[in-house]
Amino acid sequence: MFKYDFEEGVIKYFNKFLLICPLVLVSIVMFETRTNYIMSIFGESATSLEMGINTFFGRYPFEFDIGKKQIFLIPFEWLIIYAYLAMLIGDYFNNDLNGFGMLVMINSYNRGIWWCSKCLRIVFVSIGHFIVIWGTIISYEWIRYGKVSFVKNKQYFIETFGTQLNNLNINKLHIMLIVMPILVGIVQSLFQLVLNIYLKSDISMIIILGILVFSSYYSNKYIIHGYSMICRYCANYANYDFNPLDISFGMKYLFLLCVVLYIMGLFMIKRKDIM
Amino acid sequence: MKIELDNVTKKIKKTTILDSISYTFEGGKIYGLSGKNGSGKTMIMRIISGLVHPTYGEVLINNKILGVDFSFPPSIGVLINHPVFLREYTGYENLKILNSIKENKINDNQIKDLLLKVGLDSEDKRKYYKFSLGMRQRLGVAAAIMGNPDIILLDEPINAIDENGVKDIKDIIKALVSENRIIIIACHDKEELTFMADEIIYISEGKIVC
Repeated sequence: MFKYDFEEGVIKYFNKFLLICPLVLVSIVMFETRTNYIMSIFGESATSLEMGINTFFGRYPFEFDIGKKQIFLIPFEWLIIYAYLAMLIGDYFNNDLNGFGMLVMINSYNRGIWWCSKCLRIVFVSIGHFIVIWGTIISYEWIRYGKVSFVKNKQYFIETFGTQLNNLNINKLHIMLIVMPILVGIVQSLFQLVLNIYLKSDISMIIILGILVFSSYYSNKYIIHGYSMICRYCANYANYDFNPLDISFGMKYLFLLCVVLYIMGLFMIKRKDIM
Repeated sequence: MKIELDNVTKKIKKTTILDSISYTFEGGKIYGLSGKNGSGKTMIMRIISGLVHPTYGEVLINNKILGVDFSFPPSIGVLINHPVFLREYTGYENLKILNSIKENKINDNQIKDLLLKVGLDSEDKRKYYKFSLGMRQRLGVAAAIMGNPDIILLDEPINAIDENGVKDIKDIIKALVSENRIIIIACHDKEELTFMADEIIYISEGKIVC
């Protein structure tokens, strides 16, 4: 059954995966324009690592202080990446459940296998989505500078992202940048799949969008989307009330959520009436 | 082969769709479900197929409880509502995909024979989205009888099919009757049902009336 879901739900969506490329390119070009002066002073150009950090940088949460006048800008590049992932997950589940997938389910004699196959599909869609994003970043560096590198340019990095991030162990940085966004994407997609069991796909997408906006404003170790924003792993010197996120807690929490959502969805799909 | 409906009731919100239905279906017969639109015929089929859970009561298949001992009957073919297949594949390819998931698989030649049996061209390269309504219905029947399942549920199998096709489908259904097989057909056309079925069950407002 997974072969059917992989072909129908992943391979045939390939064209849709590529639609995120223009956004990523625009984000990189804007980043380079902003940091052009650093390049010209130190003779360093952005590497794939630095472009990736910019893409997933996010923003610190809003400070709810009546005394302070502040404007909060939602991190649109980050938000669109996850909103677009929700679109890729889309209505495949509902269309399948009420269409050919119903026949597939009956012929496999097992709702559990059907659910497992759908969950595997969303894992591959999530991974595919981030592969395209990173593929765009790496291709840009290769075409622009003739190289591909995942190292930090010392001065460029400090001037752009600050010393806190610069002092982080490079392996930890790679995990924050590559593994955590994918994990967050998988948990978000699983949650969306669970919502789709009883809600229409457009309603569940709106709920996901609401959660993304909420996550921009608030930060807490239990709000999953914070773990895909690089800045939230570092202290905010402008706001000492902010508690940086812990990567090891985050990984365990996200894995646990994957298991809980899978089991919850399995239980729900076994009880659902398919009309 | 035996299917028992034991006091099966189905309510959706406050509406009672099926009201304490008790009936036993036995192998070797074609059962016809007759009734107006909305009487509960399709709901009975959905409950027997395992797609819908009864609000009260049980469905037993060979003394095993559906929804407890298994999610779906172990050998079943279903045509409920309008058949939905993969748009970008031919009839043959659609059946091949379904066949690959089944436990009792058939070979490629048997799939082609099945298509010919229901009046479709096994070499037809047209994709499903180009099929007429009648062709889609024939493919639905083919999918339901593929692999010779022990339970066959056909909801309005002769809808949109021309006169010759109706005769072919009726002959196919008659030929499928065997000791170990239960065939249940729902049809709003009483005359056609009388011809096809050995026993007719009349459903009205969610109850068996006769």
